[in-house]
Amino acid sequence: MVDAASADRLRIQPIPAHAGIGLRDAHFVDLAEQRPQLGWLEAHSENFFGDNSRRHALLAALRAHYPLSLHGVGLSLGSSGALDPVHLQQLQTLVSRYEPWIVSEHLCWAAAPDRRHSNALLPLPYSEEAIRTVCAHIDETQELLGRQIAVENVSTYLEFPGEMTEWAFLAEVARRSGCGILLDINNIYVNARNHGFDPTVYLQAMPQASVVEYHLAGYEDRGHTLIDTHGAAVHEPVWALFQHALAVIGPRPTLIEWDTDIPALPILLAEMMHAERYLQTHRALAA
Amino acid sequence: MTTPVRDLALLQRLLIDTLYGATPDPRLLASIGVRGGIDAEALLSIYRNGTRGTLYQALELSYPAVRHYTDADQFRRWARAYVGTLPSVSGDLDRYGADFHDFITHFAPDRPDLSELARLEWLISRLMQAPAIPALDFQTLAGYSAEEQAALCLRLAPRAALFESMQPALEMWQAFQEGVGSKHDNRFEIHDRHTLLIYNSNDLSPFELSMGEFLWLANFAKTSTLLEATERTLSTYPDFSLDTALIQALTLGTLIPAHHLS
Repeated sequence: MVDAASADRLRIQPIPAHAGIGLRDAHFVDLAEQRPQLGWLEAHSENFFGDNSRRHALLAALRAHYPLSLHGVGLSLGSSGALDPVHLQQLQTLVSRYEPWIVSEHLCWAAAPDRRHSNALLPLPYSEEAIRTVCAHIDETQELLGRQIAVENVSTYLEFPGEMTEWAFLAEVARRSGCGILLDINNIYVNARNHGFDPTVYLQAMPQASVVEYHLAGYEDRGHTLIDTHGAAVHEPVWALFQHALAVIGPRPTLIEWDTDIPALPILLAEMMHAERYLQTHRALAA
Repeated sequence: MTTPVRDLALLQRLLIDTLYGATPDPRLLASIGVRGGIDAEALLSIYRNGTRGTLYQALELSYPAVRHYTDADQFRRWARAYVGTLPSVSGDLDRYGADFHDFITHFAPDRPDLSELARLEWLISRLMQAPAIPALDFQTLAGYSAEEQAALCLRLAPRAALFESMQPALEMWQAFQEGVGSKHDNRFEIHDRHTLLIYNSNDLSPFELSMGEFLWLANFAKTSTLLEATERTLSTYPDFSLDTALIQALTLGTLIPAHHLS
């Protein structure tokens, strides 16, 4: 869908493969005052829609100090209906204002054709129709923003048995649309446990050049299902899978996400440093 | 045997129906892979609970003062009924809950103060998200001839709003902001208030208006010329003072030239 020349023009300009943290309200003031050493910050796009001057002043101050990523949760790339033009316009305004190093969204859907919105990251069937739908919406978004975006694999608690595996679906979406892949290692682990597949097979299937970023987070074990709560430290099996990703795909900018039961900033930064140490090791090996 | 759904639009409609409370359609259930002895309905409930929880939380965040003056169980009942009746239609959760005050009116007709407080909180949240657009000032106005001034098309600034209420919603909101209001507080007086709200420099400032001043500014909720607004106001309130109202509007930055919105 995107020719080679267009893809080059749009392409994400990567930052060095360091660890960063997700920007949450609880840490806004501490970050602005302390300016701790960290690789980059990720803000949820929708949290900065509108013109709340206090929030934008804080974000602008942090943007002047750190590389910034804008990560959306509500665009609903996989909806069979049209993308919300108001949402797209607000995203475009935000991207122009902050010029983030990367703009990312989720590989999922949230809104029905009649516009009722779940405000959740709902699973897609891994079908040809879903690929066409998602790629058309990625094209529309990339055209509007004038840049490549990345899509993130989501955690799922149910599956629609379909035409291909999740990893084949993700790789094909990236191939056809020319988007980057934001690979959430925790989500791969959660889905592997929930649906019974080998997560290393998933990693092996990823097109290396398309993977532009990693996410790490904590899950909650509810017995029959792992839930991607972003409410705990990264679990050991996820760290192990992260190391495997570094070996198979290579170091990439890596984000620690922590959205519920948010800890004090030093705890989050310690978790980030944990990821940074793995990245350092693999950067050294790569060099 | 029910056939699984292959059409993406139908699958999405059936799933959203379920998330908003409908009994899962057999075609949707047949489309879901069953694993480890967990049935499809149990898996759907994970998403249903997630959506409900997200929307309840969005209402709590949009209406902290209403939540403060209400029992937690009561607020949750209202939120549950609201979510079940009015689905979200945006990926931006800040846009969810615009009609919550109508719901409170329906569910708690004996608490008009809470309904009005909800209306006020939504209004304030919109002001906080509104763009800052340069307001009409003395210098700009002075640059026009008298005829041009009369024909000037003006609008209320995006960070200005009018709030009229018989209920003590503003006092309740202010007490909540100051951390002094309680849910059993009955010291708030009921009387007709006409208030101009201005959001500026991260602060909300309320200004009490006379009926004439309120009506005059209300003309600018839609684009109006100074002349039209003043003539309409004078026809109802002959003692309305344009000078006083205009000086106040220019001082507070209440009005913007209409073309600034285009």
